[in-house]
Amino acid sequence: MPERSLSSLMESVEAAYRLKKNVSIVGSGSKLSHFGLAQPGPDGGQLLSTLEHAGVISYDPTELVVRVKSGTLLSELELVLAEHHQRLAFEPPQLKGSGTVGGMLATAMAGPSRPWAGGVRDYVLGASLINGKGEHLNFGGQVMKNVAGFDVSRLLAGSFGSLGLITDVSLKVLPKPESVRYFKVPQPPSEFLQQAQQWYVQMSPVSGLAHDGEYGRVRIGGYTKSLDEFSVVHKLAADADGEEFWHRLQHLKGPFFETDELWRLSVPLWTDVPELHGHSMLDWAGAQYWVKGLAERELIRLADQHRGSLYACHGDGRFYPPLPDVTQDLHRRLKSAYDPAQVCNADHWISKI
Amino acid sequence: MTVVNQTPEASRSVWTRERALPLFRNALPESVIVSSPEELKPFECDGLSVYRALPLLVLLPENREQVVTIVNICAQHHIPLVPRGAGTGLSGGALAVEGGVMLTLSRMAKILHIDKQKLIAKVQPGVRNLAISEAVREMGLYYAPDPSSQIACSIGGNVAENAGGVHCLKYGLTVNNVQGLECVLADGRVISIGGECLDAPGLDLLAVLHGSEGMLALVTEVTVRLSPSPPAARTMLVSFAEVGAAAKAVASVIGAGIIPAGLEMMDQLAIRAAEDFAHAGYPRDAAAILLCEVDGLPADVEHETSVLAGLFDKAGATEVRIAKDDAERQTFWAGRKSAFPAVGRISPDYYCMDGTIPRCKLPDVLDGIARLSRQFDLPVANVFHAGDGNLHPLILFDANRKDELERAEAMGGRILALCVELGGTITGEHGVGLEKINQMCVQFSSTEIEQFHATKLAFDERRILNPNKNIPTLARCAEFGAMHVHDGQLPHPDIERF
Repeated sequence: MPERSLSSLMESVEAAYRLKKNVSIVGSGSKLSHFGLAQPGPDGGQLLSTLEHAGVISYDPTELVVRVKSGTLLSELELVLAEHHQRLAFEPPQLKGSGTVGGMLATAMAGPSRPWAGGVRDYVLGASLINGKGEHLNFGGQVMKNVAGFDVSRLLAGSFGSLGLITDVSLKVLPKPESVRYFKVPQPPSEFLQQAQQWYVQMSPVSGLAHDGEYGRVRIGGYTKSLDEFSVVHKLAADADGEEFWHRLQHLKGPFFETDELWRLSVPLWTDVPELHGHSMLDWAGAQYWVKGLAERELIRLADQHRGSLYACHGDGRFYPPLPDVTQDLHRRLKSAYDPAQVCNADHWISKI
Repeated sequence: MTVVNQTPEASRSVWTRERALPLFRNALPESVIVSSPEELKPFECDGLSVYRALPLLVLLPENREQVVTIVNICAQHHIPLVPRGAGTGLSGGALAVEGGVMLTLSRMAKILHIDKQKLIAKVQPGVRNLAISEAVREMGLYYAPDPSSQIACSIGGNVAENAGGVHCLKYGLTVNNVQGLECVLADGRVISIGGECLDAPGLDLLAVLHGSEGMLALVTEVTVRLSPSPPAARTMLVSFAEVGAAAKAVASVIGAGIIPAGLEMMDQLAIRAAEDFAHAGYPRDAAAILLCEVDGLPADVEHETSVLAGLFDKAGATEVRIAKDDAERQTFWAGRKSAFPAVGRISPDYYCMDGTIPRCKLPDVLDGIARLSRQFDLPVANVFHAGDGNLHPLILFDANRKDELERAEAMGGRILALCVELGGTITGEHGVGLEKINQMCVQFSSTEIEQFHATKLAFDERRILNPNKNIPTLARCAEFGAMHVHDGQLPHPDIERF
């Protein structure tokens, strides 16, 4: 049962520490191939799944806080929140139709609302961790403001299990928008981005700006009256399959993403990259591109040119540019501070620095 | 097991002013160094003036290179280094340490670059919080976090404390509004973190640096995110005959799916003090008032205002006033913003606390504070950010009367322990600094505290930066005798009790 599950997880990590045997911490495993971790490597060691450590610990809608065990499926959490007309505003992707709350924090993947709503770390209020010594630690809490001690719970966002096993997460949740509407703009990406900037630099109900190669896609959300006003003023054409489009974009589903050679490019907002036209799905108002059909060397050049970063959603999950020496050094030191025997997720590149 | 009970090397500093001065004079222009006791005086405390100590020297670098030079000298000679921004902090985080120097970033105060398409600004750490908003106002933008000291506090200090403010329930804390940092590490190396992109590969170092109270690195450049100014805002002044009813109304606002831009609460003592001081038209007979502000698109603001008016009525409000214009809105806020100085007028001294609790525990915590107030025989005025459960009880006392400061401090400690008991935290936005270091032992277990020390050492293995602040040693916790019971385990089992 849940409590036994926590203590058995602690025992497993503690034993790994004592015996210097590696453990591979996973949730549902839905994002492994996306980050090039599909094949357990030689350093993987014992598989440690959080799936049985699941369930909502506490949720009071008027607090805007939910605390859940890490093995809880995102789909289940979202159902609980939806009953109270609330949601995770950063729209975490569920790849292959699955995903856990622990995996969400460990990978820090956020959906199309990212430029407006913020990322996973912006909604983390607290987290508990079994560090690499098997010690169970609580950081942060269940309140909106908390500056006691170092902010370890946010440090866990994007840590890929390299600092230990996340056992529970406290998240800020927000009301769902009263309604959502979708529009389609027949413009090439460059013109679309230029036009859309005005909706970012002034307050507007826009909550998504994407381009599928053919159409610019606009999503707005909020109170009906403001959405009406936006629709009247900007006279955009309604997008009949908007709901399906944004759902697929959030979860990386659909024909575009059915490929074995997907890349992800992160660049500053509004970056128009003409070389990517015809090869990419633009999201995050031009700050995130999903790319296929271009040579690695060309992608590296584009990442350099636009001062961005790149990772391969296939193969070994290689990324670019490499971290500077001083940053690598801090990663090594932090890894050792949390996992001194280097046993947690040794296959991930953060552990290998 | 990390070594935490050892006296940190840097704190064993044997440096004197006479010995330290030549090291810095040889490497820096004279204008950067403050060394005479008279000139050092303004640096003897931060916003928490009950703690005072003179640094050996104050260094006022004008650029990153000088920061690196200073850090290198300190690292080489094991001289403790206390970073300081504008010195407005309220927890003694920028208090000088014995035998150490102070590095003040106030001269690095240039706004380097504003990008009005990407809504970011690159600024030096000494830039004042409000100066950022002023610089971008004409573009219809502002910088959202607004700590009450925003006219004076600096952005570097905001990062160190993860400063909040009145609007953070809706717009987030400093950590949610900073996209990049350039820092000098304790070994003099420069690191660049984040920047123009919305994410970067690797661990979220940006997150752990926020609120690290100058213990991990020195911030030399900050890339902040700007926000579009809301075209409309409405403020409501809502009165209640009972504190409990006001607290319940707060929960029902959130329950209705509305996230106000600000939701502040004041009790009767605070209301009267503020009214006498600012003449904001506050109802002197009300047991509590709420100040509730909504902002955004005009249609949304109208909608939320009408929903809220109905909701407050139902919650038993004795009066709901909606500011009819911007002038009245400013008047409503003038009372709240002057609450601290107003309380300062009715009492020779006050001690401002900063606990946070889950909103649903507001009635419990207010009962508990009233009980403690009777027990310690000191009045308390409550002013707080009700929307995010962040309390600022002001304990009134007179430092000239025997025992009163000690009683106020003891009572403050009990209030913080109560916050932890109710599922909250000892500090919402002011930081731990030196002030709340004992209460850290209440909130965290010894293994958690050890993990904090290990984190500190990962950044600063010689413990040069702001030593002995923020994270207590386990020995200190044992001495303080805090009883943190964690997962049914005894507190600090590895320490002998005495």
